[in-house]
Amino acid sequence: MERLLQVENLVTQYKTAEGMFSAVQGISFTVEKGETLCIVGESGSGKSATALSIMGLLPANGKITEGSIRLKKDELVGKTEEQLQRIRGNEISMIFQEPMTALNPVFTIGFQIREPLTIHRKMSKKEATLVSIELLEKVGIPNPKEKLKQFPHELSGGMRQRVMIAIALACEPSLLIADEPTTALDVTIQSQILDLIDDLKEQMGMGVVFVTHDMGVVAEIADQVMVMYAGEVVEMGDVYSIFNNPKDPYTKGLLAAVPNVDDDSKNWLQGVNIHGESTASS
Amino acid sequence: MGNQQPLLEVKDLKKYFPIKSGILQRTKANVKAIENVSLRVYEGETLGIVGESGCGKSTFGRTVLGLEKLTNGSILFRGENIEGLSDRKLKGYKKDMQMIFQDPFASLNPRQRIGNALEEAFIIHTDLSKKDREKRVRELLVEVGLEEEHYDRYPHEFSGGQRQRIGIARAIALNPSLIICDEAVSALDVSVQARIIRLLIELQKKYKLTYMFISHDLGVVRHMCNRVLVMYLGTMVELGSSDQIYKNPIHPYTRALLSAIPRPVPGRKKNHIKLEGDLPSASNYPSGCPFHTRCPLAQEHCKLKVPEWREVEEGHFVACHEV
Repeated sequence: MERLLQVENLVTQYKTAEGMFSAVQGISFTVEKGETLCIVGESGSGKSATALSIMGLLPANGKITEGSIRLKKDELVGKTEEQLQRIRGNEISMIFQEPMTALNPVFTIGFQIREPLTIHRKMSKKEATLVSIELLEKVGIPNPKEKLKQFPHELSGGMRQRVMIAIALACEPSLLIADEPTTALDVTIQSQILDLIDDLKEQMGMGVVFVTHDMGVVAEIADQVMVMYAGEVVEMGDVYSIFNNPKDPYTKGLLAAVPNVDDDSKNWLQGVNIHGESTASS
Repeated sequence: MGNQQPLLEVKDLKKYFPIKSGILQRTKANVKAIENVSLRVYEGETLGIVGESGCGKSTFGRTVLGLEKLTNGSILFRGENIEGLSDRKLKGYKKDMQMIFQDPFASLNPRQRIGNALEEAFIIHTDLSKKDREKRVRELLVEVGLEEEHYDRYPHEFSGGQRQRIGIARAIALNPSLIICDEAVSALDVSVQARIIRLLIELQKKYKLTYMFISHDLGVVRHMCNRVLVMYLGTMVELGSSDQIYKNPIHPYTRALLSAIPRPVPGRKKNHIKLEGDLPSASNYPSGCPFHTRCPLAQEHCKLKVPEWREVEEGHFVACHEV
């Protein structure tokens, strides 16, 4: 396999009223071509901060203070905004949790899918429209021609997420970052979207970084799993070894806390032993 | 539980939201949020209500509590019809039925101390003195796993799990008999979720509470509930004991829903029962069986006739022509 993404000793800090706060504390991992890496953890574990760091989309008070992120041979840390723009949406794409906030409500679906094609691929409007229709078909949207003229609010949640995926895939990126893309969706729609991402990954040979808190989703989609807690990696391995033979107590606790629908026993709750509730960050 | 007196009985409940348009604001159509739901909830049980978003499960909970006016049907609490009761009598019932919401932060006033917020229920419903009220509130805080000192804190000083504990404290303050939990643990991390559920179960044992547990998380429902009702587009699809629903699901929708849940077991992917398309809109309600637009078993007559609600084995009901 080919190495696609190499993150080394990444430290991401946020500036807060009480000083610098490290959301990601020196983590390293790699993603191969055609591989799905799932980053799991509870809220505040730094999984989204990791995704945003790779994407170069940290908020104004966030900063990568140490480490390197290499896409193929290209170092991303320290690139200017202009250089990053050429990579974002082209080489690396991202799908977000809430497609309604990620789509612009005042532009049509068609406009928003054409945008990356006209910018990165320098296509004419006509060419871009043709490709857009193909893309919408690929992500399983019925009547793609009419959908191009519709606005985001006219579509259901599942359809919006498909549109987001179509936009993300427009320029055939080599790396797709998905941050909780199915968390806001119902289970029947979630399983459609997960299958879609998995199929497209296979077809296009992308690498996928999939951020989620749902161990069920991880089991379904991951090749490699990285468990994060408080900004650090507590365990990393392939999906089978993480689920069948977890080493770290936190991973064990996390797995035990997931209610399994197939499980008969009523003692799921007894198995849960992660102690101490995190208090509001102060 | 056959001959027991139900705590709550809902008969032919309908809830429509009118769509108004034009200058005269005439009702042009109805969003059918709940279409003929009849149900009995027995003392001490936990009834789970599951379904996808837009299936009417939350509206059902809110209507039972009287937060929404029902369009048709009746709600009997301990054998008495609540609809049309005088306000004073209704107040007594409201004390007996409480709700825990998904996001307790949204229902707390950010400028009000937790102690004062919890005290309000006692001001309205009891004539305890100020000192007694404070004592009760401090007891309540300890009861739900918080500390007495939290009395003087503000909502923002608590984590998600702690806030949900406050929501629970508020709900049990007046010793209700029925608590409706509307997605009470959905917004929490799994480890916190498990602990909140444990608290709910402890409280149920201690105070003989009856829960109506509304959730989209079928895993949690299985471990928490005695009986489960599956809803789809405002109608009842299948009702049975937890074991009946999870081990022997009959309705094609229940089967698809169960198979769509991602299991924490790697390597089992791609054997889902696939449901095509999205949930139809409740303002453009399908004819006949509401599930026929996505059903893998749908036949011609499913489009015409509403399926009957029938008992397939003891306590296990289903609405489908084909199974």
